Amino acid sequence: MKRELAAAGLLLLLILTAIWNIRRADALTVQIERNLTRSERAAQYEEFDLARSAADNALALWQSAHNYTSVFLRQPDLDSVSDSFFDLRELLLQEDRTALAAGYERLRYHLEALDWMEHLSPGTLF
Amino acid sequence: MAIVIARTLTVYFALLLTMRLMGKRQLGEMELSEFVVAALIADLASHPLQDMGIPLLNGLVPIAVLFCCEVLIAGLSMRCIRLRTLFFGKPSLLIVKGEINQTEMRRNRFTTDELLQELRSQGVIDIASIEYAILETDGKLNLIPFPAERPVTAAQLELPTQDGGYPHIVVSEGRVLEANLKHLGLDLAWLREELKQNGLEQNDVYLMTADEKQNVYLARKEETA
Repeated sequence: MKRELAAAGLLLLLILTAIWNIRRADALTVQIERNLTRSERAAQYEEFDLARSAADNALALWQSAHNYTSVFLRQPDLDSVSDSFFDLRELLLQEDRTALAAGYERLRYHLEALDWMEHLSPGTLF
Repeated sequence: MAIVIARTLTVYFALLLTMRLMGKRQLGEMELSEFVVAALIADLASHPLQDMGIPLLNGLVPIAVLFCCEVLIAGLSMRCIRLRTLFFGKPSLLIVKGEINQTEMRRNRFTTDELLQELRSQGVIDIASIEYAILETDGKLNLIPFPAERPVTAAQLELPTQDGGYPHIVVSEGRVLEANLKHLGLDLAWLREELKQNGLEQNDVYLMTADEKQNVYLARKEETA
């Protein structure tokens, strides 16, 4: 009976950790996207210093979550997000408005895909 | 490189612990659910070791989940017969009172060739000598011969038997196992006396066993070149 209770306890702990992981991934992407929206809006008004600052904040958030992301998320997905971040910074330095829109879109797509993969849905299950 | 070694050690000890906690049955006779777990675990564990891009957690979490399911199913099956039947099935009688049960043979997809092969592997040539053949849930075929075909026992012949109990190892490759000696109610003085009678020193002994009636088996160490 003790062993069964321990197994049930461990299973419950794993389920709770999985729920925490979904919430953590949600919170991280929401925070990053908020900064990206601010950055994109600033870039649209050609306030590139402000846009760079907001993008740097988003990158700082992403990098500060390294311990969480490297344990819970897949490396190829993390690489895609990191690459998109550095591409976006380069575009912000070039101040190219047309290419910037695509840069923001690409980064958002990778972030959303990362978050989506942690959610339980028929799409992620099968 | 260091990560590969650390990951391998982590997975190795996690697997070792999991299989140990699942019990000894896992190693030998596997029920259906145990077979599923064993087959899955071996494959799951290897992926994070081969691909450094996959978090180790992705290998360890499925092992932990499978372990929990296995322990819970085994525990619940012990308490609920219906659940046991659902997960493990029930034994099938392939031969009843000396006659092949063709319905059960078909249901278990067991051919006559396989049946005869199983009988031969257990030393049975004449199918008519078998009263019952039971296909157990772990896939093993157990045979029960007709009473006239069963081996004669000492009780049937009314022969006196001597039971010395289970023989315990008391000396293994020159090392005395004092816990076993104590368990048999013996001591080092008895051991020294026994060895002296056989003209041996403790270090000369390869294996020595003793039972409750103090029956002793002794094997001397071979001379090494």
